[in-house]
Formats: sequence, C-alpha cells, structure tokens
Amino acid sequence: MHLQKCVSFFILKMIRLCMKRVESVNILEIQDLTKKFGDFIAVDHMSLSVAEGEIFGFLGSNGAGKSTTIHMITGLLRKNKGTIIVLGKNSEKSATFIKRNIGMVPQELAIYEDLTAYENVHFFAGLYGMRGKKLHERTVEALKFVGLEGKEKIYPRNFSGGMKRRLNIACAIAHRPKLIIMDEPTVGIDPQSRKYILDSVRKLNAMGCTIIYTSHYMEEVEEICTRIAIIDHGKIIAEGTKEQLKSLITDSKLIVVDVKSPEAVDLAAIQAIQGVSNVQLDDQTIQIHTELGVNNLNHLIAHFIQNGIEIRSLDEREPNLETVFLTLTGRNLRDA
Amino acid sequence: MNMLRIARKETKQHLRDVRTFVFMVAFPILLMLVLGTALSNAFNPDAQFTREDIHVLYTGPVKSEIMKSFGEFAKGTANSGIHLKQGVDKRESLKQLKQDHVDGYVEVSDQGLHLYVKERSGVGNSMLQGILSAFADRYHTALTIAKTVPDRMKEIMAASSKHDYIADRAILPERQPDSISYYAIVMTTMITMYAAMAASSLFMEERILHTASRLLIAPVHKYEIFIGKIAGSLVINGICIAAVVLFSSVVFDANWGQHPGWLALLLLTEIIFAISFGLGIGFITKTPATAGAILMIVLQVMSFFGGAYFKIENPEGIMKILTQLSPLTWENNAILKMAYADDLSALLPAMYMNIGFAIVFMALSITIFRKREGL
Repeated sequence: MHLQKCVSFFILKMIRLCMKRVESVNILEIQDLTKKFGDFIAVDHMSLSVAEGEIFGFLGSNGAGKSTTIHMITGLLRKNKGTIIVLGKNSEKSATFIKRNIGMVPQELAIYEDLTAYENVHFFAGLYGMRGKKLHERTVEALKFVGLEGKEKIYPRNFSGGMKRRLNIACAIAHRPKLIIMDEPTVGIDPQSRKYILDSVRKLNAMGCTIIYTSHYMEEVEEICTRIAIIDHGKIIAEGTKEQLKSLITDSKLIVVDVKSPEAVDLAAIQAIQGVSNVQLDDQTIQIHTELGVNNLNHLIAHFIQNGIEIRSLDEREPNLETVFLTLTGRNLRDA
Repeated sequence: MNMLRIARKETKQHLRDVRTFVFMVAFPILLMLVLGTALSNAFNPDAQFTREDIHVLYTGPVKSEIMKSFGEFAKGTANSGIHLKQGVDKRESLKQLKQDHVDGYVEVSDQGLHLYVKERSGVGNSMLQGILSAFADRYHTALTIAKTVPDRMKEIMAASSKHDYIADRAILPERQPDSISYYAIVMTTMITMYAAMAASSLFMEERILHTASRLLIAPVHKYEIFIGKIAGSLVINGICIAAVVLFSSVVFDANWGQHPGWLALLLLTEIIFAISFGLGIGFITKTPATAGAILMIVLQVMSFFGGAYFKIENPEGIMKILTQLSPLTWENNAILKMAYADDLSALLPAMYMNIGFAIVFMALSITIFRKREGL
C-alpha cells in the first residue's frame, strides 16, 4: 500500500515536471492583456504566445498598440488587465527575475553621448548585477558582437547613425538575456548597417536567444521572422508563419508596374479600374492590388498607353506580407 | 550598488560637461572678480576722505563786538583745518579769492556774516558754511546771555574757540568684508542655488535621451534611480562649490571665517535645498524649458534681494520683506556673521530653513515620481 502511494506520488511528480517543461517551451505568454489611456483602449484583450528560440515578428501601424504591449512586457507600463508570463514567471510576482532575462533595444537611441561606447555598455550591463572581470568581459564581448571592437574609447557623438544603432543593441545584449525585444532597430540607417543588424539578429537567435522583432520594413520581417503577429487597434488580427499569413489572402493578387514617368501616373484613375482594390506609388514602381479572377490586365495596360506612360516592366506577383497587411487592415504599413 | 553606479555615472557625465564648470565655477569667480574690483570703494572700510586745509580771509569793523568775537573764534578753528585770517580790506580779499590764493572770504558786519566763495558746491564750502553757522549760533546765544549777564559773554566766546568743529566718526563697525570677500560669499551662495537649474532636468534628461526606458527595464528599483541621480548631483555640485570657495580663498584672499566645518555644513544644506527645489519644479512642469524659465526668474529675484549683485542696506517696507524672504539673505547673513563677528547664531536657523524647504520640495517630487509611470 505504502509502495503504491510512493509510486503514484513519483508518477504525479514526473507528470508535473513534464508539464512544466512543456509550459516552459513558451518564453512569453500573454493572456487577455488590456491597457487603457483614459477612454482610449490601446491594447484590447490581447492574447499571444512566443515559443523559445523563435524570431517573432510584431507588425502593426503607428498607434496599433505594439509599443504599448512591449512596454507592458518589459514593465515600463502597468497593465489594466490580463497576465504576462515570461519564462514561466508571472510579471507581477517575479518582476526582477523577468527584467534580468529581458533585453530591450528601443526604437529611439538610448545611449549617453558623453560616455564612451565601452562606458555605455559597461554601465547598462552593470545594472544587471555583474561586476569586475565578468562585467568587463561581457562588455567587450557585446561590443565585439556588434562590430564595435576597437571603438571602445570613442564617444557615440562621433559615431555614424548605423554605429549608434549597433551600440544601442550592444547595451541590450551584454547581460545575455534570454528574450530580446527589438523595437524598429533599423530605422534610419544605411543598407550596410541594416544588413549587419539583421545578421546580428540571426546570430543572437542561433546562440539561443528568443527575439521579438518589430519593424516597418515588411521585407525585414519577411526575411528573418519565423512567426508573425499582425496587430491592429490593440488586437491581434492574424498570427502565424509567413506562409500561413499569405495563405489567408486567396482573393487578391499584386501587379507591379515599373514606369518611366511616375509623375504622370493618376492613382485615382487606376483605382477606378474594375477589380483594383488598392494602388500605391513607390518611386517609379506602381503596386496594384487587384481581385483574383478579375481579368483587368488589358485595361491597366490600356490606361498607361492612353496616358502616354511608358511601361518598363510589368510583373504579376503572389501575395506578400504587405498584401496581407493591406488586406487585413485596409492600410499600408509604412503609410499608416 | 546600483545607486552608487548611477551616482558615479551622473558625476562622470557632469565632470565631462564643460558647461557645468563654466557656469558653476568660472562664472561666479569671474563675477567675484568683476564686481569685487568695480565696487571696491563702496566696501572698503579703510577708504578715507582726504581733507585739505581751508584758508579764508575776513574783514570787518575792527572795533565792533562781533569782529572781536569772530577774531577769538578764528583762533580756535585752526584745529579743524580751517584757517581764518584777517584780510586788508574787502577789495583786496576778493582779489585774493579770485586769484585762487584763498578758498573764501568772510565779510563780518553787525548785520551778520557774508561768505564769498568761488564755487557754491564742494565739500570745503559746506564745511565753511557749517562752521560759520556754528559761530553765528554761538554769537546769538552769547548776545542773549550778555543782555542779562554781560560779564559772561567773553567767557562763552572763549570757550567756543577751544571747540573742534569737525569731528570724524567711523560709521562702519570695526570688521566688515572688503568687496572681494563680500562677493566671494554672495556669489558662492548664489551659484549654489543655481544647482536647482541642473536638478530640474535631472530626470527629464533621461526621458529626452530615452535612457529612462533602459534604466527602468533593468532590474533597478525606481528609488535607486532617484537616490543615485540625486547623490550624483550632490557630489558634482559639492565639488564645484568647494572649488569656488577654495579658489576665492587662495587666489582672492577672501575671508570665509574660522569655522570651515560649519561653512561646509551650511553650504551642503543649501545644495540639498537647491537640488530639491529644482527637482520639485522639474516634476510639476512638463518641459525643461518651462522649468528653466520659472527657475531663472525665481533665482534672479532671490539673488537680487539676497544682495548678490549689490548690498541692500537697511531696507524698508516691501523691500525689507522681500529681502528677508530670499534664502540667500539667510545664507549670506549666516556666513558674514560667522566670518566677521565670529557669531554662529544665524547658522542653525539658516540650515534648518534649508533642510525644511528641502523636505517640502523633496516630498512633492517623491509623490509625483511614485505616481508617474516611467521616470
């Protein structure tokens, strides 16, 4: 009888342990999260989970609620309702533990111009309880990781925009967080620095960090994220892998027209053509979202010819994330 | 530990900021030098008025009573540096006056005294007029007495001849600060109050730099950030004020008294008051520009009525109230009394006031800081 009890106790323990392991696969779990600013609901009963090892893309227009959500996860804002669980710990009960395991790369540069690159990283990393040799090693390691080795003694005011962005990242990763939240880390930088940062994100992920990545650059999200959530008006309106999101769009296609004289393009006239749901002009390229099954290509070509607009190339494409976002929210991400 | 780290970071940042040193150290030293030199005469207790002897001729009816009395009176005025000498006649005496051989001429007659001088203004003329008025008063008194007791007239007039008509009295007490020492003290207390300016943007600065988010995301308590930043500000202001005091003491030879410990304590409480005041204003305003504008006005008024630009002596009415309300008046009085009268009685009240106001503004800041999301 006693042995039976012991065995059943052991089995129960094992089951609980296994369940705990299963639970811990999700590094972040958000349930029914709500945040109000007066009468305005910034985050509306949002539920979300991010698995360990993911690069999770967070897409949303300005004011959609993604920064508010990020600020609640990091403890910068108090939530009105809901639960946030990071690494299996509740944010209310284990705030310090969670903070120790999160690294945040804010959208704006958050560095001190009057401290050297080394001093910036050393100071912020020091706030996570490290000191002495370990702190020095981690500082050097973080600076090396973002390609700022040899620039330790330089003040950020003498850095280029891209270098400052990289220092911004170094300050967030020196304490080796398990979850890194990157809020628009590539805003306003040159293509070379952008490539460097995207490679760094992949490397960090390969090293075992889970990453939540927000960006206005759809192609970046498409390139690096393993799973994506689209947020609008404080709610998640779609969530899944790129393929899963694209599969949501079965009723439209994208026609990309490259023209010689974009100034002559009348977007309203194109929009009026049968089947066209949305038109955007980006430099010399016109993106025309049109309903699937409506054969309006002849009409479109005729419109360009009649208006004396020379077509350099015309391409019919499968829906991309931009199309998905546009279809789901009715707005273009960059214009929103 | 994090508190110390934040305080160290704060100190390091300010030590590298040239503006801090220009404003908190170079500016008061320059003002001390400029005002102390420019207004040195207004303060120097050793400054003296050099009075040259005055030479005056007089004429009149030789045998008259008034002429005899004036002659007696003239003998006694030499002590006062006024030399009255009988002239040949009126015409010759006026000629001497016109040729600048004498400073004045007095025509004595039964109708009274007529004084001739080349210019109406001047200290010498005033003294001469005063001395002649004194003679006239005495002569009238003597005449009145002579009507009843004729024998005493000669005695009265003789007594007047021994009189020293010009008495020098020092208006200032024995020990007063010279201009450099005065401005060393008032500029130091003024610039200490200006610590409020930097304190008002202590937290706003972190918000503007977006480093506030980084600090709050880290496992650091809000109170650690609060105390750390204030401690850093305290250290840097302490260094600046100590530098100003030492510099003025060594280079300008300013007198700070014989109680360095009390002086340090008083200035420390003033720094705490200034930081709390700046913080309070920073927390109740929305932008650094608004806080800066409010503080600039308040500090300027405070400095003016506190005697930072010039000494306000014996104010009356509303001026007296405003002067007494300025914290700089408390600080300056306490230091001046300590340094020049070895009187420590004003120190503790000034320190209590500093700490009292610091507590009020600090409580206000903490209340807002705790309620606020973020820094």
